[in-house]
Amino acid sequence: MALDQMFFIDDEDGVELTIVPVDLNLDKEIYLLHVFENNKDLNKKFIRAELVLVGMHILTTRFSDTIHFFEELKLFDYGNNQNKYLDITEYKATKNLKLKYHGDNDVFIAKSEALAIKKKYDLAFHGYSTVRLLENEYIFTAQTLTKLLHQQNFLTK
Amino acid sequence: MNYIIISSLIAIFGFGLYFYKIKVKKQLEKEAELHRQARIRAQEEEKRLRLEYEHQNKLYSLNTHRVRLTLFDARSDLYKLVYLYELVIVKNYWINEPFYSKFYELLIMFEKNNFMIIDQNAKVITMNIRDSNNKVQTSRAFEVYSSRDIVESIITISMQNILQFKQQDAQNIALAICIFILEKSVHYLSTEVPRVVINNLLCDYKSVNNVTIIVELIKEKNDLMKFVYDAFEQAQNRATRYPYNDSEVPRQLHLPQKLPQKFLQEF
Repeated sequence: MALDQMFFIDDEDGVELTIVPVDLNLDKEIYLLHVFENNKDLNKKFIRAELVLVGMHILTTRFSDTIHFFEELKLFDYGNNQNKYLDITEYKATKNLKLKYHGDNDVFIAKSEALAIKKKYDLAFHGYSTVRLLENEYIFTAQTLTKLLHQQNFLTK
Repeated sequence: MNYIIISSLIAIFGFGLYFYKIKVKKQLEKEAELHRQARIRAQEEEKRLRLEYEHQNKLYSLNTHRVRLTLFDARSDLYKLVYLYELVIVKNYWINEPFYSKFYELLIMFEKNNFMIIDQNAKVITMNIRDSNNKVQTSRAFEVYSSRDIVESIITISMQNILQFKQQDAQNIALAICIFILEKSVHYLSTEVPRVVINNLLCDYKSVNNVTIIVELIKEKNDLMKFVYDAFEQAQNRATRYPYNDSEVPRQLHLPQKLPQKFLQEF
């Protein structure tokens, strides 16, 4: 996946959306996908959606789920078995977070990695107003998201 | 005495003149005759030429029509595969049974169903999306080719090679290519085209064994059939890729129960 690729899709009002991936952890291939709306009249970019991509899986497509994921990361071992996205595992007396997903490989996140991910996630929102995101979030369906991924040659190697 | 001489001289002169006149008259008559004959010849020549000319341009109305045969109505049954039908059947005049019906059945199968071939070189992305009831559904996104496009491309690319075989073999190869693509295709929900369906398609065909053997040769990339596999890869490079998500509601598999009617039409 090329990090410098911008993705476009038109939503119902005919607004052009672009996706910009932000890498949060390159070893584990965790990315945050910003979905921007480009307003040409005002010459401004607004965030419309936030997605979390791990490897070949898109874990969350709604902003509330995305925030949930990162809060669980922040909790680290203070979380419990009610965690939705991450399990707390122990290996040789060190605690790890294991990603709950149906993927091929197991993804373990160490404490330092979790902190770094959280820091970069916070930085990713600097300069952008989240008002538009909170009030007028772009809600993906399976079809629109697939179309978007295809349009940007996201699915080709 | 002088009187006699003068009168005889005059007589002789008179006769001479008379004979001269006759001679001239004869000459004139001869010339007139020649002219008349020439004119007659000219007239006859003209008549002959005219006859010949008319003879050439004479159109006879015969009671014949253009050749008409009992054929399937490709223009109404097929829409996207009409070009393939014309390339394989019309151009080569392959309207012999049972090949004609079997190939037509396969064409209709491709036409009416949205078969897809999943691009093996592409990534598959799994996504968790909340549906309209706020429940999280997992679905996968693929890049697919349309089997219709692929089958048309393969046959177009490899037509030259196919025609180098004798007719019976060439027809079996054309069928085998269709079967090969069907085996590689999926029909929604990433399930393969059922084996039962493929077997049913072929079971009533006369040379089903030959066709199956050719399909195996194609899959093994045997030297003889290598051109088919090369055409397949070329077709994949050329064809348009479409996005497909397996949460789409699948359509019914349309199996042609019986073939459409044949109509008498001009070929």
